[in-house]
Amino acid sequence: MNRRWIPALFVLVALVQLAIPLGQIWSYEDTLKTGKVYKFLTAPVDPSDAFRGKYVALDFKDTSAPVHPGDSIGYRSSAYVGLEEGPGGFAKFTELSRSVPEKGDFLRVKRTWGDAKNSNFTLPFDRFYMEESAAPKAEEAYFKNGNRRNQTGDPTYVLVRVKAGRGVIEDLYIKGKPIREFLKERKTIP
Amino acid sequence: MNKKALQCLYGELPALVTAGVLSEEAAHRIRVHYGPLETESGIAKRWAVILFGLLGAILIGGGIILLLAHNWEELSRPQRAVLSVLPLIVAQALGAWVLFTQREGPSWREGIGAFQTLAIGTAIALVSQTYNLGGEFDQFMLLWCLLALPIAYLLRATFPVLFYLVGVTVWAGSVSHEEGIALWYFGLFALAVPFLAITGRSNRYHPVPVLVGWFMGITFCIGTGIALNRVSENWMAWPVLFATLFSLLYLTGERFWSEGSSFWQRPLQTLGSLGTVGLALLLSFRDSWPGRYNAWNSTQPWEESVGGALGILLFLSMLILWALALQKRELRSIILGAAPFVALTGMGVLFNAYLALLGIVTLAQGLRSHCLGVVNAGMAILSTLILCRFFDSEVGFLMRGVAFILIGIGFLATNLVLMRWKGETNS
Repeated sequence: MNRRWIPALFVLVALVQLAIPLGQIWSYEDTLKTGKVYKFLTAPVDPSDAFRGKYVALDFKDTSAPVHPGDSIGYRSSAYVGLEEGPGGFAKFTELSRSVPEKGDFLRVKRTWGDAKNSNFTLPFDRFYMEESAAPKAEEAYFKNGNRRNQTGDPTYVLVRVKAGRGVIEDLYIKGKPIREFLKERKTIP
Repeated sequence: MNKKALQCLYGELPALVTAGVLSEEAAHRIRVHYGPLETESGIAKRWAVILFGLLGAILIGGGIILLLAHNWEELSRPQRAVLSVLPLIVAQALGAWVLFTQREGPSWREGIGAFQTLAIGTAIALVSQTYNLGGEFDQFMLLWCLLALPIAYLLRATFPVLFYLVGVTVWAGSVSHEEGIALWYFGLFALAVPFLAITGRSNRYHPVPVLVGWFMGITFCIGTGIALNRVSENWMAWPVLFATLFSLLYLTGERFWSEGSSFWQRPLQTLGSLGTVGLALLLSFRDSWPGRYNAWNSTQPWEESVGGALGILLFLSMLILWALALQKRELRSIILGAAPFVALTGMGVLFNAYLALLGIVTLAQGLRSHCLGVVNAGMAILSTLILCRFFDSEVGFLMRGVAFILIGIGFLATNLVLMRWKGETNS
């Protein structure tokens, strides 16, 4: 290759390298600004699974939906799940399909186990990052309040902005408060 | 040409000029063509320049990341997003400056190459953290590797290609459980091979192509094992696969780095021979062979076909190089290249004869060439074989006893020859 072309090629490669993270920033900022808000109920997690370093590991309730008739979706294959607002204002999954639903909000997910009529899936968001010293306290609060939800009536949930199949977490709520505010108000974990 | 050979050539030139074999002008042209002989301190200085440049860039990059991490919580989301890509922009600007000002110094290219490679991963990871994205590790690794590889070619920097080789192997490991995805490893590996050809074109014994050769050899062994694991297990073919792999490495090394003066300058030969001997020792034990047909890997027909075709391609490549070795009567290459054929018989006992032959030939070659390193290698192969058989309960006491006595006599005879050789050297 003629070495005169190398600087020009380098600039091209640099633009491609920048395009990936900048493209992600643009699409996720757009989702956070213009996406529709949904509340996803979280499920209790084993504290040994919850702790994964500097973030709170999230698990979600009832991540299953009926499969669109005629669709065959393989294990760990990408799929789309329809969303609508359910009881209590929390997100409800409508139908799992291989292609993008024609109307309504949806998320791009990965199918896990199930049968031809009903299937489970994993959501594209499974963690909430926090400052390293706060993450363990947040996990403990998340775990304790998640398990006591039925007793206290205060669900633990994440607020997510959804647009064009993307879901971006805005915040994690414990007892109706954002996690950082919850930790600031409490000096000891209940 | 390697340093030793060049030293020898330069040493002979005055005598050749005096004898009228070469003219002064021809001798001068030879010196200009090969360049000055690098001194030990020159080589050390060259390595120091590269390593210090690399370490300096990595430490500065790491320090900046830690300072940002300390204040991360106080920053807003847009500020974090900008800071996530800032190291990458700085690295790219430095890279562009090096190229446009045509700075050829290796410390600049290596340092900036390393910095830019790390900055790519940092940008993707920090953006994911800023927006609480999960994501799959294998996708992150693959993207990082593919974005980093062009830096190696454009800046002629070593770190990006070494990172790439390790990264695609890690990626193969992370997708090994998925049907057939890991087979793409071979295509990904092939993308790095031209870098070795480019850097080794003028001097294949330069530290850069030698280092890349080591990384390629090691990662190719691991990556091939991972990529073809599911198919080779189903067909109980892993002994033949790995024997082919190690033989191929050795034979390829003999074509590319045949004049290397130390084991370091012969990466593929070292890996290939160590791998072959290790595998042969393992397969000399009956219990290590695969048992009945193992169908627990549920593979698709296409995966079996592609995996099988790749395995056959490796075998054919080895076969061609082995035929070349046969033609040139390179005894050690012939023996090391024969391991796959021994594995094809499925008889572990044959590996005892194979290792004994390899050890004796290596020993004999070492004695003939008065090379202590080769003698030691031959002795090590035979000693290890003996040790394994001594503790092998499958062989009876009588047979072991007779065999050991005979071999012991052989060692004593070798000792006599070595002592005679040492006496000749001293006198």
